[in-house]
Amino acid sequence: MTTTTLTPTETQTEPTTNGGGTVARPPHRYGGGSSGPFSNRALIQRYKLGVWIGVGGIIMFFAALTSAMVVRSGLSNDWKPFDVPWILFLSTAVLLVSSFTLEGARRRMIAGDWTGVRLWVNGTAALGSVFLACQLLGWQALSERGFFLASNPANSFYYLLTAGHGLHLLGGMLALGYVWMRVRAPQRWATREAVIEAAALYWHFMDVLWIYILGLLAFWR
Amino acid sequence: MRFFVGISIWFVSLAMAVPFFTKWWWMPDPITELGREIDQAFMWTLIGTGVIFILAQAALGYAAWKFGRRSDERAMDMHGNNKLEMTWTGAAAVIFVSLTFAGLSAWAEVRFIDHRADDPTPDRVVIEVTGQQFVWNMRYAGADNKFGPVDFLQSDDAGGNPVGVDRGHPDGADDIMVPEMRVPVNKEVELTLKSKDVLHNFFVPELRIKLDTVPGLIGKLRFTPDTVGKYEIVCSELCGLGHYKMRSFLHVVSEEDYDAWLKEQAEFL
Amino acid sequence: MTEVELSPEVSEYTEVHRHPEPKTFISKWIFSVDHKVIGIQYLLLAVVAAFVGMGLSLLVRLRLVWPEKSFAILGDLFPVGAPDGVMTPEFYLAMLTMHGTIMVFMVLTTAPQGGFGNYFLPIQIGAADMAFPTLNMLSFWTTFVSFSFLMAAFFVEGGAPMAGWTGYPPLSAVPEAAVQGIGQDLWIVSIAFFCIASLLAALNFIVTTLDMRAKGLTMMRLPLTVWTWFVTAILGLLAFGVLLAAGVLLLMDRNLGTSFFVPGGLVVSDKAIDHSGGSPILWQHLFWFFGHPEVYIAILPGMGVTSHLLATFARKQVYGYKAMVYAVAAIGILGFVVWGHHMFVSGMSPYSAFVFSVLTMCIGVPSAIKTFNWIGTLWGGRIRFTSPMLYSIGFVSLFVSGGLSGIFLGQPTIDLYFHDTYFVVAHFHLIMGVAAIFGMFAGVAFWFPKMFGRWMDESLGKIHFWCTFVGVYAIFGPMHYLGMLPHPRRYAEFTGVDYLQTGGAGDLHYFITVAAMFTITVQFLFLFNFVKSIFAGKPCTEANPWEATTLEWTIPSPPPHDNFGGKVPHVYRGSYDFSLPGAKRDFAMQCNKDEAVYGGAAAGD
Repeated sequence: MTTTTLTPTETQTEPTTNGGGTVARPPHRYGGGSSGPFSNRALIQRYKLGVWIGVGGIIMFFAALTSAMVVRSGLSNDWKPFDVPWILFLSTAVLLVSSFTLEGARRRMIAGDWTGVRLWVNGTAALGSVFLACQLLGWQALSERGFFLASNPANSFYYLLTAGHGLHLLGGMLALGYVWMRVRAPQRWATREAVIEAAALYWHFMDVLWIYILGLLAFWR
Repeated sequence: MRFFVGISIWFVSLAMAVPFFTKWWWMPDPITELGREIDQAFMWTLIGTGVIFILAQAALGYAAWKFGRRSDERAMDMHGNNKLEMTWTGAAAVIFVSLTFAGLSAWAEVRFIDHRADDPTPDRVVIEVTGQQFVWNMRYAGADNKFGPVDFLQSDDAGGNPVGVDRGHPDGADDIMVPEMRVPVNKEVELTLKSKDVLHNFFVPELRIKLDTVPGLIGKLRFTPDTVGKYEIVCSELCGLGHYKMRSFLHVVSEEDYDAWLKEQAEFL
Repeated sequence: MTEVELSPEVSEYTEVHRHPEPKTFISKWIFSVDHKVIGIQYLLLAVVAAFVGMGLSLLVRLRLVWPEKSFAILGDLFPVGAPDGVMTPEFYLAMLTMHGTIMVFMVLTTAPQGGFGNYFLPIQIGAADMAFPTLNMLSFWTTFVSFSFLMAAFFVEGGAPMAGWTGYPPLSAVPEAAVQGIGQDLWIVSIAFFCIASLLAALNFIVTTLDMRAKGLTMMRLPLTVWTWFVTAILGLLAFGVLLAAGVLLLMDRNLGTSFFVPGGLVVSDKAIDHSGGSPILWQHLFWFFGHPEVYIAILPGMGVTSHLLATFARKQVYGYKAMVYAVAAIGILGFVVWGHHMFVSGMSPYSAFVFSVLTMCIGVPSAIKTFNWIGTLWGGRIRFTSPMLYSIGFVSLFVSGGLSGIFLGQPTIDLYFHDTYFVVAHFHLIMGVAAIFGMFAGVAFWFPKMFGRWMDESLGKIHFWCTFVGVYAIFGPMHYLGMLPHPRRYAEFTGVDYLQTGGAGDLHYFITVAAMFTITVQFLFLFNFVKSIFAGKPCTEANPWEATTLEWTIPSPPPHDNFGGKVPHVYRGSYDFSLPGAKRDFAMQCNKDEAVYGGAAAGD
């Protein structure tokens, strides 16, 4: 029987917070770690990896809808192309701006200015709500033209894709709410940063996804 | 224990394989040249997989028996053998892929059907098969060798027009609708498969072929039966609560009987 | 917080942060974020689902042999589906559909991955928990919601859905065609929830494997169990989104008047259906794009457990570890490009069928590599015939039997005859059903002492193995012969088909039903052994009772909260260092330094 002495090689300490936002020593995965405004790189990396993997799953969902749309449009002569409502371009602009505001929040976080973070997160959430409202107006505009969900497959896919994206964006809004809570009640420094980084990544992906969907709706006839 | 494990694997797996060699439960005899070709492909596959099956199960049982003994010596230090693995992998790849190629010509014959006119010609019988819950409808073009237009929405099950043939149309007036299929022996038959409601599947075991009838699509099957007889058509795609009783018959008859039957049917119109 | 005693096998470790233990019953056992508790929750859900699914299969078997017979208890339970206790054909189809759905989703997908994967993946890689514990909890409870919806389908007006587990439209999309209420809708909603749960779980598994491995645990040192859970998670991530999309489309077709899958001009029982332009084949493509990877989602973890256990109990290194890893990866990749072999006779392009066929045959190659290497692992070993080992050997035998019939079905020419016959039923039950379940039996028997700190009854386990092994061959072997006749599947009775009246179909059915009743009875032995052993099994106090090598055997049984109590062992070697020449023992744990294995000055003794 082998007996070996147990020797702890490195010691990680629980990340501490003093409420204001400065952290003494950033814990790293196997100890060490870099100092500076970015603490707890490992956690940030993990959360961002999670978002990237999730993006893979979401892409498959929309890829399936896209292929269904492409196939369906070629199946029958009941496909009636239509112009997308102009308000979608407004909503696109709003969404793009919201990405910049969230980026602003991330900048404030790096600077350690947590009041600023809250401000920018609030702004982003507001723009997100405006985007969703625009999407609803888009639905209204379409239905006023007499295009309903079941009118023809082109309309079905319009409602489906915009709703699918909207729901995913709503998920992003929830994440922002979580960020907001975390920022307000300073509990664990590390998760707070990681969540902001992850939410920002997800939000930017929502932009890309939306532009893709808009392109698909506008150009696939 | 080791003895028991080894023997059981041999016994159980062999017991499962035995009926494939004794042919206790077997396919009905094929009635087309194509069917015999498919049977040939099946036999090649049976031999190929049979050899692998017996080798693998025998080796598994043997390993359990041989290396299950309790002794003080350690297990062999063996963690792989690239050459052996490559050989095995290569052999498996060659067997598996060549089997597919071996059966390709039969597949091409059944399904690579070029687009020809849908109407029959003197040397080719064309029958339109329409599946519906839970019956098969067969339509023949009649004396003019032309199919009339159909509209399922005009169909009338009780009135003897289950697929909605336009009887007013000159092509449709003489179309023959029957519940069972009758074809002349040694003549090419082409089926046009349709469905009125849900998916069905046209399958005649003796022909060795089947194809889904898909609503909204037209499927094509071709065969040349060479044996007179009565064969069963069974539905092989779940189509609802009566799926198990959705069936019909394929009658392969002599050319004279076929012509006589056609005339007889025409008189009913 | 009590100090956790790590096994003296651990040469060195890293200290990490410890999380406080949950205090209340609810946070500890119900809405737990501990991967071990969640793993057990998944397992219990799978056990319940498995017994429900098994009961349904019994009804299916009974109806096939005695279509007219009255079972009084059924009349009371299902007054509509079985009036006076006689099962109607639609009731038969509903039972069949629910059996397939429950088994595929709620058993084969949950237990190997959500159950064992959740419990042992973090421990085997030296992590305190999954990457996202709260997400993990959400995955389980979403699965639970999904299961509840599925169960509710039994009790709504019109009864459970009857369109088969594949839910092919128009039967599933046009309510008139199936004469049903909202059972089918509940089915779709259940599947949708299941997709979401599986996506969240897959994300968690992938991040955990990539990001949380102990120091020194490189990818090529991972236990094969971890590899299969990892690849399974990737398959799940890429496949379930597609099924979710398909499910949403189907639900819209049913309820909102869209026409994705339903073509125009349909007439169901003399009634025109108001749809236009959709394609039933579109559903089949989407469904099988998910459906084929799903087959591997079910079987890959079983392969991993088998590889793991064969090495452990043969006291031998896994034969061709790298080849095994590449084979798993190859199966995962090829699994996404072979879905068309489910659709050879669907009316899909006959040209693409040929491509799908060749790709399908290619997938036979990595499967052959695995089989060969399993036998190679046993070869020259010193086999210990414990009950988990027996299940693993059984797995290999079943895998060979079930896999080789796939060579027939993967050829479009031969599939023309066998498609939708009992030959197919025999094929997928052997490989994806029974083999995968043998993998689970093996996992339960192997990890039980670690999970519960008690032993399962070894004799009962062996009796259960022998009866089940013979039983499943007795059930599914004869189904091949039924397929030869050929007996179409999903027939509520076979009395209507003339050629099945001769040729012994009735005898075969009778034999299968008797074998099924026997095998199902035997499963209660397993259930009894499982439940009894949790509470009254022989205590297992050792950390490493099987003399295994991986990290879960360095911690107490059952593992404490946070697994390693804040001390993550360092890893120095691959997962299967058995019978190393010159070593002091016939196994070297992953956390053993060379000095500890071979002796020497630095060993410390």
